[in-house]
Amino acid sequence: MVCLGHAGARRRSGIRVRHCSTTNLAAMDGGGVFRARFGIEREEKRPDGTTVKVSMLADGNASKDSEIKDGYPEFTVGVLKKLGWDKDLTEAELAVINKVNPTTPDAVSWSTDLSGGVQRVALKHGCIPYGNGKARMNAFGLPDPIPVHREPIYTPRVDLVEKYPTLPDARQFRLPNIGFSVQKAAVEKGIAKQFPLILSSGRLVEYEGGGEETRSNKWLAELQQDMFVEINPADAAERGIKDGGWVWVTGTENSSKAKVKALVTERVGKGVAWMPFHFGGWFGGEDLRANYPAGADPVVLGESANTITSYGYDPATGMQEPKVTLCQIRAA
Amino acid sequence: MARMKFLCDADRCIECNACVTACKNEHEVPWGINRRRVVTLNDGKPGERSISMACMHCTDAPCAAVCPVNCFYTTADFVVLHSKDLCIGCGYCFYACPFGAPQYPKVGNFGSRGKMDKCTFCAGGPDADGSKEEFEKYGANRLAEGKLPLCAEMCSTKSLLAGDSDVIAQIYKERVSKRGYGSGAWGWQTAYRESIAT
Repeated sequence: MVCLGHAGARRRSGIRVRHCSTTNLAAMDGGGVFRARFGIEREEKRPDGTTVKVSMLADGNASKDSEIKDGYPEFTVGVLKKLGWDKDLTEAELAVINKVNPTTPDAVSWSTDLSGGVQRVALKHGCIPYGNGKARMNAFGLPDPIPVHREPIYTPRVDLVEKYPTLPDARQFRLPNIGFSVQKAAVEKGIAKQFPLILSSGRLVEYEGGGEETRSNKWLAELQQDMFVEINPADAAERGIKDGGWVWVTGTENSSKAKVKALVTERVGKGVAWMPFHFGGWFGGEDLRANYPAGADPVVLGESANTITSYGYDPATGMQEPKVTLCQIRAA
Repeated sequence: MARMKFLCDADRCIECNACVTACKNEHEVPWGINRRRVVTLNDGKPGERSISMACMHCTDAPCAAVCPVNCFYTTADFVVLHSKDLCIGCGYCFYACPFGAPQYPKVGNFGSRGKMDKCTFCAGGPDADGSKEEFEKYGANRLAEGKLPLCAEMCSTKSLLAGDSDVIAQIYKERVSKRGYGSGAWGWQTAYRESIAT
């Protein structure tokens, strides 16, 4: 397989790159292959109902100077034995391996071998310890094995929801995920008319996570002293909002509201607003500094972006939806 | 002796403010005093550019030219320093400085501003090197310890360079010639009456 993405690199360097990874380098020089992480063989259904076994290992390619010129599984002591490379393990390494798994030392792999010997021997033979597998474009096991477009639960494009709905309601682990019902109800209630702006959230370079620790650092707090919302100049003009002025951001659920400063900028497009998620300590316009235990209050407080963000959970991981929702903004 | 200079490569600055934070922490600079700051032009628009600014330690420094009490002096490494024992907080240097470097602890006119504070190129002041008095007035003296300014040491993209003029100019020239573009060593013409031919 020739990776088209490397066409330019091939022209410039004259090297025929036979893989999307850096197979033109030897393993010890930083060469790499796709990890054989998902087994070495997979049974796949064909359209006619029959099944076929498909190798998950690379076909006829490996990193430069590899002694195995084809795909290979993750390295274990057992794999080394099959190759006859176990003789390269030192006595000290074998002693550690036998301690790691006294009953079946063959099962000790590159990732559990505390001596590092399995990795050392694999690399000595030009092989990557984690195996040489195929790249997967089909993430079997996920609800959408190949990504498809799905409208956010709260979308301004309600006309697209019917064609591109979110996944059906389902029980995930111990909990229900009722994204589909929430999306449907939002469309029926006309939420997008009341809350016409798309709201996303993100990070600032000065702060980390919820910001409690970093806002407690005076050097960093001085650089970002106010919670804010970025709003496009056109949206700001329609609403009589001035750069640096106070605004109310209202959200789609629970009559949520947050009082923040406006940063009028073309960094966000018309119809889009953005808030950093590092602030806390204010709620619904109220400064709650007095509620902190003495000496525990950060230097800078502000409204939490998550007051405004709304329902939505990733079907595979349960991660919340902090990146897309709707809001309305008005001058305070 | 070396001719110490700052050079900010505006094509590399990502406005991370690490230089500002490093400076504040190293010298324990109080809230509201900014020896170094990052200025961003066209924020949020195509062509946005950021540049890290502090005292440039000018050749023939204009602050020294206007100071009524002659509190400025230039070290053997061409670093422009001042004496807070002599400074009367008149604010003339602030008006003279093309880079907005001088900072004052208080807002007010003439003597009510308090003693001027500015970037020392991490070289302290006229008090004994590494003394408690020097640290309290001017911050750490890294140069006396054989170290370069912490802002440049900390720069995540190596946009900000500090050190011997010939060395940093050479680094910048090589960089520009390799990547094929460069917007020039910002402020060099104003501060040093010279530019880097690239």
